[in-house]
Amino acid sequence: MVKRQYGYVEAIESFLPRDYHEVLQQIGAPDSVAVLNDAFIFAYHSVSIDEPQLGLAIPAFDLFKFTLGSATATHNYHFYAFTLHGDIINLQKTHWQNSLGESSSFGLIFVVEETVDLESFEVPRATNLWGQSLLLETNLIEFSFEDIILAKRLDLIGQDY
Amino acid sequence: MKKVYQTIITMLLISFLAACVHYSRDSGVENLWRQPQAFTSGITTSKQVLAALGPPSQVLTVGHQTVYYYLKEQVTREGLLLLIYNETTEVSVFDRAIFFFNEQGLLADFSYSKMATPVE
Repeated sequence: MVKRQYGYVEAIESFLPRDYHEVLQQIGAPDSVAVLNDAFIFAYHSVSIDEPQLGLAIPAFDLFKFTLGSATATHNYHFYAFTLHGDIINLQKTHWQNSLGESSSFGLIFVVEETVDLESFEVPRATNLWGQSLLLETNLIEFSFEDIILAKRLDLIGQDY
Repeated sequence: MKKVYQTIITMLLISFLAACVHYSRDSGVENLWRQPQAFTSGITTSKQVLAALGPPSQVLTVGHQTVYYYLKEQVTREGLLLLIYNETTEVSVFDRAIFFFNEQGLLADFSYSKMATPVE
């Protein structure tokens, strides 16, 4: 069994905040902040992944096993949009599950092999790339980092920024 | 009969042959906001926050306000490896702090992330 937990969103009672101050007080610092032309957004996101596996010993190859596995992700997501003055515009919270696929692997018996590709969950957060992206020579980079520098998009767990 | 006992004991020993795996890594800034700090809205300045916590992970402009956003990512992986059963658990904790400053550089509001477990 392989279990992964990314982030944490506290279970809270439904509430109707008037502004961002009440959201900060109730839920704490957001997981991601996006700033648009006439609004800004707080996102709170957590993902837990369960990957049960079945390992099968291979006759005549004692040190190796064949592993079958599948993974399911459970998301918890809160979204709050505010005017630039900080008043609430919109909010939504949701909870869902999605399958990350099924696959198999071949490896050593003492090693827990991942059978499902979870690479997208292992990329650095955009916030931790912010300072680095400021140092890049804009004429040499292949991709513009303007979205990261100006926080034009939400950085959600498991999704490429 | 002795052979049967020996076989059972051997099987039990093999079943419980175990290895443990543990690793952790950090990235981002040091979470100094978890230490006692005396930040007060309307009084604390952006300079005082910088002096206390160091450079932020990200600086944003929201309308007329400036936002300092701090992030520390802690990843811990623990595993129990038995011959007949393996289990690994990886937990990524995103410890965060956010500070809003007005045009005068005074703290308008601030908050820390809520944690499921205490963070060092």
